[in-house]
Amino acid sequence: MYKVKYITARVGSYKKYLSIIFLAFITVIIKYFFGIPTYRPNLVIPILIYLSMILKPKEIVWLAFIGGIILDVFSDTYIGSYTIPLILISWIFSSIRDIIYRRVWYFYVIATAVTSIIVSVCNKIISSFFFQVKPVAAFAFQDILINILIDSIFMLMLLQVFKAFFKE
Amino acid sequence: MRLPSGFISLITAVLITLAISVLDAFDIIRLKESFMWVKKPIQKTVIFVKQIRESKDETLDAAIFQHHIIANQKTTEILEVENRELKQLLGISLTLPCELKTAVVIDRVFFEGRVMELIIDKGSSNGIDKGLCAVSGYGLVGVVYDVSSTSSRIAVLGNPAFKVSVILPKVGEAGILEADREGNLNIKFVSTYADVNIGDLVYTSGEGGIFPRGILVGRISDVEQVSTEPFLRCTVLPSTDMKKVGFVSVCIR
Repeated sequence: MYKVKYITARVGSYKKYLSIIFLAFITVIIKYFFGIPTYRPNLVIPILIYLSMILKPKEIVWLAFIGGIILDVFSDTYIGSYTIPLILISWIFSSIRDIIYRRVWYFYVIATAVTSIIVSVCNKIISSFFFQVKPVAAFAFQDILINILIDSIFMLMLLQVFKAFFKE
Repeated sequence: MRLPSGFISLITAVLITLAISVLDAFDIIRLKESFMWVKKPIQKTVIFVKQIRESKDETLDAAIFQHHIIANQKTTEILEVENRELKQLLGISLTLPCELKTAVVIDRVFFEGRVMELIIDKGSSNGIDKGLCAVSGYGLVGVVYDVSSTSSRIAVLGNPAFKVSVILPKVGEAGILEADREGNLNIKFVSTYADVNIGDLVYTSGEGGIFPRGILVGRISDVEQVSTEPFLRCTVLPSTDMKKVGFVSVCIR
């Protein structure tokens, strides 16, 4: 088991908010630009996963709230369909990181994939619940798999960027 | 009982989210609409970028289309010229008292920048023989002097070896048209008493039996009287441009 110290003091107070807002808006722009409703990267997930390993749970919750709200406001779904899963997952990861954390790259990729699964499934459930849309299981499964793949790839690409940005 | 770290923050954030969601769902706060001032510029920028990308493709398509149009236009211009020439040729063939065999000019033989010979795509297999007269839609071209089975060579006006008997109908004078070494067409044996003017038309006289009577040869371009010579020096500008002529007709009978 790795004992990880909270390094909140080292993470600049503005950097964490700046990075989450920036990546949330990038996600929104990518969505508008490509216009594909399902296959798009969610860049908020990688930054939340990364920050949940270095921030306290009460801090990561509010970061997830900000990122999720931005995604919800600029998406066509109900408010909360991104925010609530992101808040819960980032809080859980941040709370149990002393047990699960490994200082290897594939830990972040696996954590991102798990988060992506949960967020995608939540979105599908909320869409089908509120909008009376019954997604075809095969297509929904395909969409979720592609989202997992895209998010994991972005996590892999952005990991070194995050480390350099937060000077870990 | 000790609560997990950040649990109160979690519950607070979730409750706030749910409250916002409920208020927005019942159109009480209209959060999405209030952020349109952010949303619209993003959408407009994205649409603008998309339009630029599409316009690049459209520009490329338009360039290709323009290229095709220009190519077709050039083809049309060539066909128009050929059509005009063939119409002229048809017109002259109706006036001539002989059977014509129309041929395409496939090559030209130059000497010092002047056309000396035309090579056509009809030969002895088409009934063409040596010594026959060749005309274009604009007038006399020359005489066939060499024939193979599938092609013929025509000595044109301007070739020093080519001579033809001509008349000036306006003044009633006759003469022999031939080319000098510099390629100028001169009429010999025109009397000094004849009232020859620049611009007078010159026709074949029909004497000699090779050329039918009345084929246009050209116009008088220069008249000079030398006191020591008994005849006028008349220079003729041929009516047919040998560098541009594309079709010729040979009088085969």
